[in-house]
Amino acid sequence: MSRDRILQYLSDLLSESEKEKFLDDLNSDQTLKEEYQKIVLNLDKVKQLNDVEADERYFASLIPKIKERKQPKTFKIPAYALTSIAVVLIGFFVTFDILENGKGKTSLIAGYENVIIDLASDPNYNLSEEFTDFDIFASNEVLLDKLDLNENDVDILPEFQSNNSTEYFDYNQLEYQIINMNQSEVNSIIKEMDENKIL
Amino acid sequence: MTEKSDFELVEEFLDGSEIAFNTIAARHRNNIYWHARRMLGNHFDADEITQQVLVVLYEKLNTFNFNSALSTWIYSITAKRAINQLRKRKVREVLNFDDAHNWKLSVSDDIVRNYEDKEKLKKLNYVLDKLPFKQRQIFVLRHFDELNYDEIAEITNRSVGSIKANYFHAIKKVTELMENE
Repeated sequence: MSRDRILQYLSDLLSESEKEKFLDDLNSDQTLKEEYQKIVLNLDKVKQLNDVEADERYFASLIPKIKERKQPKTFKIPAYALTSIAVVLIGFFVTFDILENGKGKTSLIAGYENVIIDLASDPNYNLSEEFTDFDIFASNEVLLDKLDLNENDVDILPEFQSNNSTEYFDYNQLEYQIINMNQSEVNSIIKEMDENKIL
Repeated sequence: MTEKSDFELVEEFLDGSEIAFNTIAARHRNNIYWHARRMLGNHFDADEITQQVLVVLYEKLNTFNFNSALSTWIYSITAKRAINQLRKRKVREVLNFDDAHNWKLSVSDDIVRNYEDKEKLKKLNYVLDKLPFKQRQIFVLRHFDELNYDEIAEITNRSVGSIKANYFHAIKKVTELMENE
């Protein structure tokens, strides 16, 4: 009972008269006083748990990260242009498939094709973090090299591959690079990836 | 030279000053990060929320109405995103047991490097994890971010009475846990 009263006082749930009575009792009742001190001490202990030393360089690095993250939002491609890109890409892959007549290659290329089309046709440029095909796509060294992504952009790549996690991958950077490529650059990457048979 | 107020900086930013935005971000980034970290219990989620909030700040500062403190507005964005992230994580944990605790293992890039400090945060997270989301949020805003009830009411869009009640239940649970350790 006294415990709840103390907690009510600390939560500011007591009325003015109840508060006055509580403070009077606190001065006169030793048991209540000890219980009060114990509760306050425990709350202080919890607060001290957050008294830690952090690497301040992290905070300094935030603004450049934010500016990089904002880049895709400033780049607008009209919806009709995105649709055109998607149609041209589909045409290219169909033609390529017919010429090569290699059924084994179809599924490999189709994976990349779908990803690029998905990226290009998304007006908000928002990638699903759970997009599993993208894991394979984004961890391809040929692609990363072609997209001119450096270690800073994908500095988490080893963890990213081993954990199959997309959590730390810089999607915005990759996305930005992809939507800025022209068709021949995309074709060139797909071709090289296929030639190297990298998956 | 006197430091510019948040309002002055917002106005300068809206007039096109990137430096003003950098100053706002530098002024509030620690509060954003540590609120998110206390809510989510790990660096990676906190980092993600911090970056998201700063991006929102950059893009939506033109919608800030100057009726409340900028810090209150920033806290409301941070608190909302942090609690949503917490909910999403809990759902993922329920649906997929294999991935449930992966984030807890990814500690190598943590900005807290000292072993003792890591242990302290681990213990803090253990305690906060025992609270329901809303209680956790209100306890963090009140006890760590040191906001008053009116500010918390504005941030969480709840009545002061309900916040006091939540805080009461939170400190009851927290003190019990501390006594039983």
